[in-house]
Amino acid sequence: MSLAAALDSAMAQVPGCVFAGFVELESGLMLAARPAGALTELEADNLAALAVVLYEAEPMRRLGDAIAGKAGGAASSGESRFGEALAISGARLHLFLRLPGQAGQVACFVSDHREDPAKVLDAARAGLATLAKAKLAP
Amino acid sequence: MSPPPSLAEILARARAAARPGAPRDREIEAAGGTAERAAAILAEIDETVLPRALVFGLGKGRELVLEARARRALRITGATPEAVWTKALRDTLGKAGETDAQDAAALAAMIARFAAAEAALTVRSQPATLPPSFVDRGHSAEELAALLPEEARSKPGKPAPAKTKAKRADKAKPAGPALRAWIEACPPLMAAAVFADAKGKPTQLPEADGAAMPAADLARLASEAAAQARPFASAAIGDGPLLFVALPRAASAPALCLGFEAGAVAAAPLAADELGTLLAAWRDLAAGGGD
Repeated sequence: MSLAAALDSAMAQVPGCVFAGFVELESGLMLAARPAGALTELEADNLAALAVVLYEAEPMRRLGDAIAGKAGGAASSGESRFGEALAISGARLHLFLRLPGQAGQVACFVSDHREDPAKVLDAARAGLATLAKAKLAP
Repeated sequence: MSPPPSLAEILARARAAARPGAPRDREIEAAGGTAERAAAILAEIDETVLPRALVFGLGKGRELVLEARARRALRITGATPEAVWTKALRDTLGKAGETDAQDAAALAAMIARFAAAEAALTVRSQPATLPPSFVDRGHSAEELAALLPEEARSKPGKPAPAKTKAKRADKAKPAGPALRAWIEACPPLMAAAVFADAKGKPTQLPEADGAAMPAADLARLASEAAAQARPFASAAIGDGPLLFVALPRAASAPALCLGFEAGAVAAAPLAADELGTLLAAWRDLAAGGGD
């Protein structure tokens, strides 16, 4: 399945989904986005940068260590403890999920927040395996 | 039949396809003289977290390309017209062997020289072209501000933010449930939450502080995280109250709840079984009072 088709398929499963994209954390770029034109280039760029901050920024790492320490967790090896992130605003729900087996790749979904957030998160998780296996169409 | 491309190949193709896109110039309001324009350039550096080539334009044909990351200027990779350069600057900038102090002074001098022209200042952010370096840390906007020549210096210390940003902050209005109401709606979260102002000064700490890290330090760290996330969140999502929930990879570890609204920041650990309560509380509040 092509990456675009996998994103379309994942979008179709996520309630209220208006955008799905694929962020590479190392470069901070949104490498694929569906549907085309749903977000402006600048919006997509900022969303990708936000994903990088949430997963890679030093304060987020240290916050992860701090709260894990409270729960008796071991100190981290410098890698972020977080696998998923939700950004909840008055307008929409933004989800960031690492692809299984590819910690440097993050799928991003934007959904209408009036849907049940837990249901949206579960549906997004369900589409991850397909996204991780996606191939470009020949 | 050839085998399907690997994910690495897919990413390489997508990256190549993504990079040629030409982002449009964004005008920066920097009314005034050299000092205001130099301060606006430093403010852009201060807001650049990811590796980027910042292409500053000043009127027709005057351009300065500066590579920045982690809120630090790494080096200047281009300037037009050639007259913007002086031999002394060209001899110093980007050359191996110069000291950190020489490099910083040359960068500051170049920014001041560029900012001296009277014209509208624009900026375009492009993917960085230089390979990442863990040796070259670059120079912070604060450091460069202190090294600007007198005529380009607005005031010592932190560079003045670009006017556009200041206006945006002034206009920020709560949209949807406010941060405090959000957290108060989830009692276990409220019991452990720290609140701080934008500078990281605690405005409310939990009564029983049993955290491994003192709550005041947690508040400061939350402010730092919010300061890094805010510019991107504001541009991509909006200026209203925003709540982040970062979920751990390990199911047994707690999640992090981090929120900000205008100048306030809140942070709290969140047990896995409290997530549903928080999301339901948010949904109810959004349905009742949100936009």
